[in-house]
Amino acid sequence: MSSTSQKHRDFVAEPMGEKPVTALAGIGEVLGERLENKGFDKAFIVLGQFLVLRKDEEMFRDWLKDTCGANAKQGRDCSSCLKEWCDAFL
Amino acid sequence: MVKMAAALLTDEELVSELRRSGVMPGPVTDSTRPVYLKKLKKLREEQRPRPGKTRLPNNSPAADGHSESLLARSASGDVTHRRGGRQQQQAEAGKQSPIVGFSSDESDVDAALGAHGGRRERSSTPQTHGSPAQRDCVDELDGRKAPVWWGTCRPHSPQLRDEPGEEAAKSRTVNGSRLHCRDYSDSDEEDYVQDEPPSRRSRRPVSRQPRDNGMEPPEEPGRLAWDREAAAGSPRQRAAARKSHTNDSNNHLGAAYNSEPGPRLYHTANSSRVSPSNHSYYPYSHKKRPHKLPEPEEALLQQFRGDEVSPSAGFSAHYLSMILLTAACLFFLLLGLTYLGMRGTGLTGEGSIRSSDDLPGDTAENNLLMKTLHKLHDKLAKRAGDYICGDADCRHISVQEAAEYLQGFGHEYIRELNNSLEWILDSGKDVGIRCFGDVEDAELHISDVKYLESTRPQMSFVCRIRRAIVTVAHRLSLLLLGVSVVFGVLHYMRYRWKKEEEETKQMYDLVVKIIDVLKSHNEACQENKELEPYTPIPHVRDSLIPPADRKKMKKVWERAVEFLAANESRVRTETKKLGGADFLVWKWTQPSSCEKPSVIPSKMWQGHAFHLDKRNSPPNSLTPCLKIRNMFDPVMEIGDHWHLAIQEAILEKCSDNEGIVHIAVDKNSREGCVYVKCLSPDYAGKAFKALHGSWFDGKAFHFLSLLYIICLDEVHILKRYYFPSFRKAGDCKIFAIGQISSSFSSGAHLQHSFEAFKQTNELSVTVKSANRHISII
Repeated sequence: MSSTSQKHRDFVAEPMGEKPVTALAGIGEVLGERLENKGFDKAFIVLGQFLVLRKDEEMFRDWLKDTCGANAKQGRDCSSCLKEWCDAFL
Repeated sequence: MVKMAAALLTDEELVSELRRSGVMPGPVTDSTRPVYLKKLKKLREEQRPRPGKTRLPNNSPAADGHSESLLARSASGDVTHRRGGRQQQQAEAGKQSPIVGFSSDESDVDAALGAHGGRRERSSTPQTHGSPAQRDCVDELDGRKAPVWWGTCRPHSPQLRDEPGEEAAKSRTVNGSRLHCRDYSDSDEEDYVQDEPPSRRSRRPVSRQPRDNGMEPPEEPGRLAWDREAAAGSPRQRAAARKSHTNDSNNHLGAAYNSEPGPRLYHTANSSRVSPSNHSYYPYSHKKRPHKLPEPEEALLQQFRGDEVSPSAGFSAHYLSMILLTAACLFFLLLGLTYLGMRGTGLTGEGSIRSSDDLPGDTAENNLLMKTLHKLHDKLAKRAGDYICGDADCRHISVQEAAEYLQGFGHEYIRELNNSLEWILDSGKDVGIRCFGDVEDAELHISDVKYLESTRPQMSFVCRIRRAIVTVAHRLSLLLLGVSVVFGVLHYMRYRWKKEEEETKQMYDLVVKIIDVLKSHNEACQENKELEPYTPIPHVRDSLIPPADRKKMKKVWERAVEFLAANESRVRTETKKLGGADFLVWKWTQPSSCEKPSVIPSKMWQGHAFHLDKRNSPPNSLTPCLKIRNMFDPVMEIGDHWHLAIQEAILEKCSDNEGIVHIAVDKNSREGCVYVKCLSPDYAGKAFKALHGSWFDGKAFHFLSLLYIICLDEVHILKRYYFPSFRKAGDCKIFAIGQISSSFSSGAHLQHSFEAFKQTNELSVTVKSANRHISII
């Protein structure tokens, strides 16, 4: 990944507050809806899952794949964006 | 399969498995569990090739045990040679065993492994050891076979070479079955596979070492096998026996097939030792499958069941109340019906009439008589019922009416009327019909009978219900009335008490006011000698009570006057002539000299008694809790809210101190204790400096002395003084032992056990520690 997406940069730039789950990089409308259906309607809930998995990006990607059927790239985007956010704000 | 096996893992097992695999897992929750399971699966898949490699030489008995023995036999046929090889392997095993030891506790797997290890070991032992002890052991174990092969063992050993094919074939059958079993249980045992080599290695040296020394007790191998079998448990064993049948026959077939004595050495060894062990263990791996398979399903089912149970429980709980309600309704309905039935009549009357069937005379006549009676009874009962329900004018009918009524049925009935009346009169019992004449007479003659009446009125159902409702309503209203009366009385009583209390309070207020008025008047008198030193009572009243309230307060006033006359020694009541009229007057008689201080309003601070210095203040604050003594005298305090005044006074004194969290006035303490809790010891120190040695409450010259409550932790304080019930429980003696940690000047946390006694209202806290004995009194 040479460069990060605008969404990624936006997300990482500030505290997530009450941002919806679709604010996460890699999570579009489809995945966002699937996640919302499973109760992950806010980005911080997904962050919670990420943290519960000890910030393990690989396992998080697995989880994301299982939960909403994210593909490899989406999982990578999402996990890296959460990881960076954590590095910045935690 | 791995997934299934993994699904069986509890959260803890999963965590420990992951840890073993070198992953630090986070919390296992519903959402993370699948992820961790996946991870574990992946890790296992990664690990599988590695142990597979190391295991191969030792572990895959099908391929390797077989090939090894084949190789050894075909290559040498020499016992000693083989022995060397064995020992080498053994040494290897011995080397490895300490590393892993008996770490594995998975008995199933151990047992299954025992099959491998045991077999190989056994098959090797007869070849490798020729020591007498060993021979003995084998003798005992193999019973009748031993002499045969021991006798022939050596001479025929060269023949070994001739047999490898057969031997190989045979062992293949045995191992083939093993191979088979391994095949299907492969993935199931995946997680145990790693444990296999260690357990086998560790086990083998143990069982073999004594044999090498020739010191092993003969029953040792047998016992080993027994132990394992015992560990297997009976159901399994049975299953094992069943399963092993095929295997057994296999081996024995092999034995029978091998007629050569030499190879028989191997055979007997195999069949007598290996196969039993094989039999008993083979099914484990076999059993594992059916045992394992249902488990996830079961677990799932159980989960579902668990899920189902709770809704159903909720469901039933929801309906339980409904059921109860319905039952209650049914009960009352039943009760009502019973009630109706009880009030209903007539039905029993027929019985009583029928019961008198045994009267004399011929039956035809009797029948007619009975019929007549029945008809009369019914008619009368109906009439009575109508009367009760308000449909008829009178309850009885005259004989004429009865006769007319009976005429409707036939002439024979009229004739019977007299007979029946006679019978009724004669029977003297209550048959449901009462006869009476104009005059009430004890002895009634048939000619006197004018009227007939039923004693068992028969009412219509509607009428009965109506009556029942009316009765119930009537009784209910009576009950309600009674309850409301009681309630009203109670309320009234309470109201009276309240009013009484209020009046008493008002009276005391008034008394205080009167005394104030008298005092001020007295002072005025002293300043202005022209004034009379007494005050007429009506004047006092008029000055204290506004005109609007005078009527209402009359009673209170009278009580106050009475109270003053009875209980106030400083006020004297006199009769004086004022302006030509006699007045009752009050005169303040207390000498004025000691009155001066009392002019000072209460609850005031009056400065410090001394300056705080090193001598009378502790070096630094010890705890956030302070105890102030001498703050008040509970005997002297009046009113309900005096403790609030004290709290306010403390807050006022410590107005610059924001660290006061709580103030508790121990209202019952004779010492006048107030407990103050501060945010931190520093704040407590500040409060201490502000309060210690102060004069407070001019009336009583309270000299405050403050104490840090040392070594009582906050919880204890809270328990003791903020929750009075605790204190009451040990009013004379509070005995508490607890662990408290208090930070002393060193900052070190010391654990103390302390005993707190409260005796005769004097608090003494004794703190005992290893080398310190502090007592505060």
